[in-house]
Amino acid sequence: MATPVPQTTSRPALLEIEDLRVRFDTASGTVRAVDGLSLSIAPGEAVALLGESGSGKSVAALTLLHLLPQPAGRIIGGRVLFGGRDLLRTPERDMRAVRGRRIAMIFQEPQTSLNPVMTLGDQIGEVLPASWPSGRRRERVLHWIDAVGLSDPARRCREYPHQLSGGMKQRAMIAMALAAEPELLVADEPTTSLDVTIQAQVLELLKDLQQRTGMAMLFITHDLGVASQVADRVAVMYAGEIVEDTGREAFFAGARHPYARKLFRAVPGRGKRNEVLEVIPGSVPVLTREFAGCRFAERCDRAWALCRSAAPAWRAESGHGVRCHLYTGTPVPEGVGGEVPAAATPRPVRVSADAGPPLLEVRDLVVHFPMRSGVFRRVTGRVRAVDGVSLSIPDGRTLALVGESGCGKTTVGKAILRLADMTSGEIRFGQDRLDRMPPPALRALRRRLQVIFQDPYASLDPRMPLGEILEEGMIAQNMERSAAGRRSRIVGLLEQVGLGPEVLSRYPHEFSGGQRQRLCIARALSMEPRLIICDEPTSALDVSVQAQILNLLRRLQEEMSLTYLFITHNLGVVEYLAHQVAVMYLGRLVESGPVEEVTGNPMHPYTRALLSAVPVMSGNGSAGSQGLPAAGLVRGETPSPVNPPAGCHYHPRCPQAMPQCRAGYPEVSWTSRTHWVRCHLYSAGDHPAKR
Amino acid sequence: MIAYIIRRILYAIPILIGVNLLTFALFFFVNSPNDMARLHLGVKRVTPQAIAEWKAEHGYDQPLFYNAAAAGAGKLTHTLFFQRSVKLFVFDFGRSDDGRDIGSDIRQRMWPSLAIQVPTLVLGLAVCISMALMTVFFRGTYLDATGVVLAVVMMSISQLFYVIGGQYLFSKVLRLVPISGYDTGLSAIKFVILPIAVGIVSGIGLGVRLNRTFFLEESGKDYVRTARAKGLSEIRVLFRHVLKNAMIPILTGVVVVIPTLFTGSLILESFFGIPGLGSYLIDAIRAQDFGIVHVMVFLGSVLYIVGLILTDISYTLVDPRVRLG
Amino acid sequence: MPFRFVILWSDALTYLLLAVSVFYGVYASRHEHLRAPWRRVRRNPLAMAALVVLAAYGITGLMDSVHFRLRLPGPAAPGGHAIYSPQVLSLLDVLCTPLRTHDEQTYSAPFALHAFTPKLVRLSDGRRVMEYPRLRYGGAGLTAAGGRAHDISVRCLRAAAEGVLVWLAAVVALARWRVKGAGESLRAALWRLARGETDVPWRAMLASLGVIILIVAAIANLAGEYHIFGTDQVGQDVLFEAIKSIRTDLLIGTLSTLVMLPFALALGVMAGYSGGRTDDVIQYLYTTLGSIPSVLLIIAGILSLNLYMTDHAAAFDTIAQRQDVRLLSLCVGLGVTGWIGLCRLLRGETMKLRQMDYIQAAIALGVRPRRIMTRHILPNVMHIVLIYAVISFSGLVLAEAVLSYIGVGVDPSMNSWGNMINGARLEMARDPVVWWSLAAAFLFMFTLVLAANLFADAVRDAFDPRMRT
Repeated sequence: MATPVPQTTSRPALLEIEDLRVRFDTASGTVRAVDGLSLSIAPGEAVALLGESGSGKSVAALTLLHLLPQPAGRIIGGRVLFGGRDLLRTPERDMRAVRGRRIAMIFQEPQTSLNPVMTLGDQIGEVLPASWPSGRRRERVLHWIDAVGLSDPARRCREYPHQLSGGMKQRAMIAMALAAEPELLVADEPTTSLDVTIQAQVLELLKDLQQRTGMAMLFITHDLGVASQVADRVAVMYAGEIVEDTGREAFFAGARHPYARKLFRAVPGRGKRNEVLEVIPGSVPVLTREFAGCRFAERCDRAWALCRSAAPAWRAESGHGVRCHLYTGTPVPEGVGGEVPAAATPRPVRVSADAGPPLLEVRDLVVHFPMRSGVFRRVTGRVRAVDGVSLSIPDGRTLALVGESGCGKTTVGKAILRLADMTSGEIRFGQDRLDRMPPPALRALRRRLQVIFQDPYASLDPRMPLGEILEEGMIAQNMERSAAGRRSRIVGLLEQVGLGPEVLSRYPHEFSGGQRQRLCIARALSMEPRLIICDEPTSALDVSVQAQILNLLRRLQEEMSLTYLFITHNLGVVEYLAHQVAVMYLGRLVESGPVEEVTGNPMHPYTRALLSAVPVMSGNGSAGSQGLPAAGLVRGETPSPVNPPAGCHYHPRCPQAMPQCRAGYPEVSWTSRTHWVRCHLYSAGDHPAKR
Repeated sequence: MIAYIIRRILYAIPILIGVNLLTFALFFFVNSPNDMARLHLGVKRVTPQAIAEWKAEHGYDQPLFYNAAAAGAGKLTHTLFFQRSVKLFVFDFGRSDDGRDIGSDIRQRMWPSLAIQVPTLVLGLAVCISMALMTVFFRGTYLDATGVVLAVVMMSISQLFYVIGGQYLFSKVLRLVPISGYDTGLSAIKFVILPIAVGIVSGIGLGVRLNRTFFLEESGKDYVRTARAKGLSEIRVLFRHVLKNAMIPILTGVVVVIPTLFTGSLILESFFGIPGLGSYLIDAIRAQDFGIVHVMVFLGSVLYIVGLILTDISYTLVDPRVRLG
Repeated sequence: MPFRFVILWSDALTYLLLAVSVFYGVYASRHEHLRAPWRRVRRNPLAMAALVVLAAYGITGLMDSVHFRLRLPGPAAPGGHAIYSPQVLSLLDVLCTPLRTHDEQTYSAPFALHAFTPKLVRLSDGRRVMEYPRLRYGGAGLTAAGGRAHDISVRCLRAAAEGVLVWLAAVVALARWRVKGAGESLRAALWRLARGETDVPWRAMLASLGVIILIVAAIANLAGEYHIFGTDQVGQDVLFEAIKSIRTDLLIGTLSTLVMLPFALALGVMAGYSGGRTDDVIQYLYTTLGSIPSVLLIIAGILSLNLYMTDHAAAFDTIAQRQDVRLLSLCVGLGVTGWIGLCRLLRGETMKLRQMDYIQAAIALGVRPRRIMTRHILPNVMHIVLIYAVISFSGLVLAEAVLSYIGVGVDPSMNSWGNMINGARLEMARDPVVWWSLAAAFLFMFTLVLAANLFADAVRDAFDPRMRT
C-alpha cells in the first residue's frame, strides 16, 4: 500500500517520515507498533501527534532518534528524511551528531529522566560540543537555565535533580534539550505527569521558546486541549497509522475522521452536563494482529461492509488529509452516513437546596505524619497532609474534592475509609462515628463504605481469578453463605457494569484498563454500599474509556441512589459528574459550593487559576478558558506541606496577595447560601473585590 | 549525620547483647562446663577432681549468671556470663583454653590476614567491574555471551578447587612460589601472591555477574535514554552515566565487608599456611577451643555492625540524594 | 518380610519435600500466573537440559533415601521376632552392590590392576621385596595384564551400543507420545524433534539425556570389573563414594531451605504487614542473627552439637543415626543463616504490597488481616521464595564442601564431596599425586552446581521480570 505523504505546506519539509514501520517483539507476540506512518514537519512548525495509549506515537518518536529499546524494537521499513538525509540508514556514529544537536527530545517522566548523581550544570553542558572552552560552555548553560525560568542559575548549576520539584525538573530537561539549539524538538508527553497549573507554565514556556528560536516541534500528546494550545498542525494517530492530519483551526473547527470526532465528544465538561457522554466502544486494538480493513471499523458506528474489508486510502484535500472511506468518494450506503448525535438524555439536575440530611459528615479532619530525627528519633516536624478539613455530602449526591497532587485529597479519602490513621477530627457516617469505631464494628460497617482507586492495574490482585476477587467481600461480610448465591449475585453485578459471566475464571491481566475499572466498580457494588469514594478513577484511562466509566458511574448513581466522594484533579470530570465541589490546597479546603457556582463563578484565586490552567480545545489557541477572566498563569509550585507558608497558604503564588494574607489564615466567608471561600479578598470588611 | 551515627551505635548495643546471649547459650547451655572439661581431659583422666581442677584453671568454675557466694557486685561479676561475655564489650578477650592471651594473638594475627584480604578485595573489584563493563559494552555480541557463560561456569566451581588447582599448578608443577608459609616484610610477597590470585580468580564468576546486573539495571533507566538522546557516545553514556550510578550499589556492597577483612579467609589461610585470624579460628575449631570461637563470633558481629554503619555513611558520600537524619 | 524399612529423619523430610513439590506442581498447573512463567522456563533449552541433569541427580538421591535393614538368615529370635541386620542399606546401595563391596586394601589408581603403594612381601625363598600387590577386585577377571586395554575397549563399545539403543528407544517413545492425537506421522514427528522445531526444547533435553544414558551404561559395564575412579585410603571405591555423596549434598541444598521456609515466610510477612512492635521484634531478631557472620554461627552451632553428641553418645546408637543428626543440624545451621536474607526480602516486599491498592481494597471490604496475609500477600511473594530457594541451592552445595573441609560440615564418616576433598587434600603432597578422589568430587559437584545455576537463572528470569536481562 503506497501512502502518499501528506503535504500541507509549500515550504520544504524539515522532517519527512514516509511509510515508517516498526515492530516490537514482546512476550505476547510481535506488535506492529508503527505501521505505515507518514508525516512531515516544516521548519519552525509545531505539529501535535495526537493519540491514545498504545497507538504507537511514542515508538514513532523514539525511532526517529534510533532510541528504540534493543533488540525488541525493529524498523522494518520506511524512510525518515531529515535535511535530505535518511535517518534510518544513517550509521550510529553519524546519528550522534544529529541526536541532541539537531533533533533534541524531552520525555514524559521528568522524575526519572535526569541522572540523579550528576549536577544540572554537567548534564546540560554535556550537550554542547566538547571543543568549547569551559567559559563559553558555562555561559551557555547559565543562559539556558535562566531562559527556562529557573531562578538563580549559578546555584542551580551545582544542584542535583532531587533538589528540584517535578515542574522544575521538566524545565531543566527543556534547557538540556534546547542548549544545543536544535532544529527540531521532539516532546513526548512532556506535561502529562505534571499538575494542571504546572502544565500550563511548561506549555507556555515551550511555545514561547519555540517561537523565539524558530525551531520545529513534534509534540506528542493524548490531550486534545494541550494539542490545541501548542500545535500549528494536528496529526491524529490510531493503531499505528495517521488517520487525520490538518491545520489546527481546521481540526478543531471540524475534524473529519469518525475517531477524531468521537474523541471530541467523549471529553467531559460542563457543557455536557445534561447529556450522556459519547462513548467509543471497546478499546484501542492490540496491534499483534493484521488488519483487513479500516483499523477503527470495529469501534466505529458509521462503518459498513467496505470498512471491514478494505483499508481506506489516504486522501488529502487542501491540506486536510484523512484516512476514511467516508471521504474517499466511495458511495456510502443508505443509513450509514448520518452521524448519530449524542443521546441527550435529560438528567434531573437537583438543586442543592432540597438535599437531604448528610450521609457523610467530616469535621476538622487532621492527618499529620510525624517526621523523626535526632539521636532518639523525636518528632521534629510533621507533614501536614490534611490540616483541618470539614465537608459533608448529602445522601445520593456527588461531592468532588479537587486539588493538585500533594494537596492531601487522597489522604482525606483514606482517612474517611480508616485506611490511614487520623490525628484528630470527627467523621460521621449516617448515625455512626467512624473515627471512634472499634475494629469489629468497623469491619461490619465497611459494607456501606466502598472505594475505587486510581490505578486499575494495581487494584486487582494479579494472582486471583476474578470470581474470587468479586466474592471476597461477600465472604468477609457473611453476605451470601452459598457459593451459588454468591455466583448469581456476581453475574448480576457484572451485567450491571457491562461484562459477561465468562470473565469469572480469568485473571486481571487479561483485561484492559477500562474493563478493570469496571471490575473494581463491581467489587465495590457487591457490598451494596451507600457511599463510594472514587479516588481519581479515570485519570489512568484514555479519554474514550474515561467516558465509559463516567457514564457508568452516573448511571449507577441514578439507579441505586449512590453517594460519591469523587477525588480528582480533572475539572472537566468535576463539571460533568459532581453536584458539589470542594477545592483543596495544601491540606485545607479553600472554596466549596455547588458545582455551577464554583466553576461558573470561582471566588478563590486558586480556583480561578486551576480553571484557567485547563487547556481548552479551541481553534485559535488562546489560553483564556470558558469566558472567565484569565487569572494568568499561576506562579511557582505547591510548597511543601511540612512547612506551609504562614498566613494564607496560597499567598506566595497569589497575584492578588495583600499584606494581611501573610498574617493569618483567612476565615470562611459565605458568598451565597451554599457557596463559601476562605480568602482575605472576601473577608468581612470593605474590600473592593467583595461583591 | 552525627546524631544518626550515634543512634546507630546505640542501636548496636542491644544487638551485641543479643549476640552474646545467643553464643553464651550455644556454648554453655547446650554443654555445661563439666562436659567441656570432660572433653578436654579425655576419657581416661575423668575424675570429679580433675574436672574441678580443669574448670578452676580455665575460669569455668563460676556459676552461669548469679553468684550467691560472692559479695556485693561480685554476685553479678563473678559469674561465667560476666567473665566470658560482658568483658568482651570492653574488648577484654581473656585467655584461651590453652592459656594464651587471645587479645594479643588477634593483634598479631590480623596483619597477615589483611595482607591477603585487602589486595584480594581491591584487585578483585577492579577485575570484576572492568569485565562486567566489557560484557555490558559489547551487549548482545558473542563476547558478551561468552563472558556470561564463562562467569556461570566459574561460579560453579568450589573455591577449594581453585586453591588446590592453583597450588598444584604454580607451586608443585611450575615451582614459581612456595606451597605455603608466611614471612614478614617484603619477603612475604612470594607467599601471599598465590593466595591473592586464587582469591581474585575464585571471585570472578559471582562478581562479574553481580556487577553486570547492576550495570544492566541502570542502563535500562530513563536517564540513560535521555543521555543517548543528547547524542553522547556509547562509551560516554556507559562511563559517565551508567557507571557512576551503578557504583552506588557496588561500593556500598563493598563497604560492608571492609571491616570483616580483619578476620581473614578461612580457606585461603589454612591451605596456604598463613598465620592470620582465619587459620587461628580453624585451629581453634580443630582444638575445640570455645574461648577463641566465642571471641571471634563477638568480634565478627562487631565488625559486621561497623560495616553496616559505614555503608550508610558511604551512601551519603556517593549518592547526593541520601541524607541521614 | 526379608527386610524392614527404616525411615531416617532426613528421609522423612525428603518425602515431605517431594510431597511439597508435587503439591506445588499441581497448584502451579492450575494457576495461570504460575503456569506462564514456567512456560517461559520450559522454552529455555539450556535450562531444560540442565533440568534433565538435575533429575538424574534427584533420582539417584531418592533411591538413596529408601532405607531398610535386611533380615539376617538363621532362626528367628525367641518370641518369633525376626532379627535384622544392624546395617542400614538403601536402594542405591543394593543397586551398586559390586561397587559397595569391592573394597581393596588402600589407594589404587583408576582402572589400576595393582595397588598404588608398594608392600613388603616375603617371597617363598625368603627374600623380602617391595611389590605392588594385585588388587582383589580391580580387573580380577583378567588373565593377563596386557588384556586390560582390550577388555576396556570391548566393554566401552558394548556400553555405547546399549546406551544408544536405550536412547533411541526413548526418542521413539517420546515421538510416539507426541504423535498421539496430533495427527502427525511418526516420521514427521521425529524429523521435527531432530530439527528442534518443538515448543519445548526436546532436542536439548534428549541430548543431555543421551549423555547421561551413555555414562550410566559405561559405569554399568565397567564398574563391576574396575575401579573407574580408583580407590581411597581405606580401599573404598571412589566412584561409589561420589555417588553416595549425591544424596548428602542434595539434602543440604534443599532441606536447608525447606527447614527455614516456614519461619522466614511467617515472620517476614508478619513483620511487613503488621509493622509497629511486631516489626521491631522480628527485625531485632534477624539483625542479631544476621550480624553474626554465618560461618561463625554454623561453627559455633556444630561445635556445641559435637560436644553434646560425644557426651551423650548413648542416644545415637547407629552410625546412620549419628550422621543423620549431624546432617540435619547442618541443614538447620545453614537454614538459620539463610533465613535472614529471605526474611528481610519478604518483609520489604510485603511492606510494598501492603500499600498496593488491591490490599487496601481488601481492607476496605472488611477482610481480616490473617486472610489478607494468606490470600493476597502469600501468593504475591511466593515467586520470591521460589527464586530464593532455587538460587540458594548451588550456594548451599558449595558451602557444604567448605564447611566439611573446615571440619564443621557433615559427619566425617558420611559420604560427601566436602569430606572427599578434605580427605584427598593431604594426599596432594604425595608423588605421584593421588588425584582421583579430587577429580571425582570435582566432576560430580561441578556438574550438579552448573546445572543448578543454569536452571536457577532461567527460573529467576522467568519469575522476576525486573531482573530479566
